[in-house]
Amino acid sequence: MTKQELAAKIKEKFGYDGKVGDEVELLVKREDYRPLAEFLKAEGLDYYCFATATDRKEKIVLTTRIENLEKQIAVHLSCEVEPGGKVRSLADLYAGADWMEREVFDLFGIQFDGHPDLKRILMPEDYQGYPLRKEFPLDQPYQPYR
Amino acid sequence: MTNPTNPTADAVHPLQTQVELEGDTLLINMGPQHPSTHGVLRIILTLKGEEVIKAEPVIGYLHRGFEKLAENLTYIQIVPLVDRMDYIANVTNELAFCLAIEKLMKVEVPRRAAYLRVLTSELQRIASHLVWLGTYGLDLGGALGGGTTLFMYCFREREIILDLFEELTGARMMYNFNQIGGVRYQPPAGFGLRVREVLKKLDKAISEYQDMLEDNYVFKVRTKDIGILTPQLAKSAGAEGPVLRGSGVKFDLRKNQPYSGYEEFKFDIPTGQKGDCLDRAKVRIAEMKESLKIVYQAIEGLPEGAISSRPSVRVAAAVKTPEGEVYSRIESPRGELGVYLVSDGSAKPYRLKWRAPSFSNLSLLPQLVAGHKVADIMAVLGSLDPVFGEVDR
Repeated sequence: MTKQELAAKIKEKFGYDGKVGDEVELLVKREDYRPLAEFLKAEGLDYYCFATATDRKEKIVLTTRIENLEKQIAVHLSCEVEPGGKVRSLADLYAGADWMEREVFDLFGIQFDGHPDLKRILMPEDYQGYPLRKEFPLDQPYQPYR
Repeated sequence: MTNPTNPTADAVHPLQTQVELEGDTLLINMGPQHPSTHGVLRIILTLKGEEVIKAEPVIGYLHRGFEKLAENLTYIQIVPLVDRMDYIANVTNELAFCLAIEKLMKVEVPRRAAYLRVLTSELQRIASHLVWLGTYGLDLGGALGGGTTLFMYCFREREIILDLFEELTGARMMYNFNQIGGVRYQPPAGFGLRVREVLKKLDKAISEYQDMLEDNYVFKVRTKDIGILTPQLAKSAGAEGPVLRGSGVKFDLRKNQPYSGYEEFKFDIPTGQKGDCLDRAKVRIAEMKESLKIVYQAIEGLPEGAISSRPSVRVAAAVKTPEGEVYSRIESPRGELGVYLVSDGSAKPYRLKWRAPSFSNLSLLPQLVAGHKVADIMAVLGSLDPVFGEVDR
């Protein structure tokens, strides 16, 4: 299987046109995020690289990279979430999603539905606010240290 | 009864951990100032006698907000900052970051610069693995030659590598050697000669340590069959580097997706079979020997020419990347170090994600130590080789 074949399969099954570059880039609807991850795992993409997010002001784009090391196929699976919105967790599919999703929750405030232990990981437990959001100011002390 | 002098003393602080006793299990706290945690790691342990039922790592003590900071700095200003991520292998961080920007800007690097990058990366890998080996000896409580012996040996050897770096860049650590489009300094006269001398010394020393390790009964007892990691779990958790290869997965970015001219070098990828602490240790020792081969080839075949292709700019803000996103990765001593960069076309990154190998490797700790004895926690943690500057960013 190649990247192109995988992209064609996704197009056939889910109807998304993936951009094939170094990776297959997919921007999917939120309800398709989890089914696509399940599909990719069944296709043999068993390596969970990372999850992160980008604050696009009105939407936060959640990106997960899943790959197959032997065949060198990688997929950037993205979906748009409103600030504070909920996404289905991948923690039961991939062990690495546990900490990575906690990090995204900690720094962006995206909720993960079905995560076993969703709490802050890098910031202190009693911290308020989500530092990697664009609205978060860098030049003033933030709550509760203001 | 409330304390009359301090009425708030009885209130439970939100950060206070509730100690629970259930039957004969005991909840205790390890760290964050434990000498064997290689930094600041706290582990909340549930014990049944000596046996670990559950371990929950608590990280974030070294969090400096690098990713937020990077969004407010220009690309050139970030390069010295990334030196402080994995502070044991500085030069590989710079390389990962510079490669990501070069990929986005489509900048070609001169061949001499690519070779110098390989040379420094591999010297750094040996230095980093030597720190690991020395501290691992300490963690195992003198399993290797007693007390601090191996630690001192390894730091002695690391020092001669740092001397080479000092000669090349002027700094023992935090080099700021890579820059966008190449490297910053030409090697001084006679550098190749001194590298060869160092390689000879290192080759002898590493062989000695290998013998010490493989013939040492105590070391084997402490590490064999401890913390077995299956390839399936390793992949699903995103483990990499020696941790992934120790489990028998032959994946190394230097071979599988060569960058910076690695395809021109001849070397092997050592792998383990079982995925226990001993396999991970053996893989790292074997890797040092492979790195020696690469350094030797790099210094033998070092091409002549320019070391940077970027025209010098007067202000840092003049370096701009085209709009888009890119994921670029290298094989750092700890594994796949990835840089996910989203650019909006300005001189500052819109979003910079530092995908740190230590973070993914450390997340395996609860699964690996469950069912082992308390003393094995440090054997497993040491074999994962986390650096907390990188875990917490």
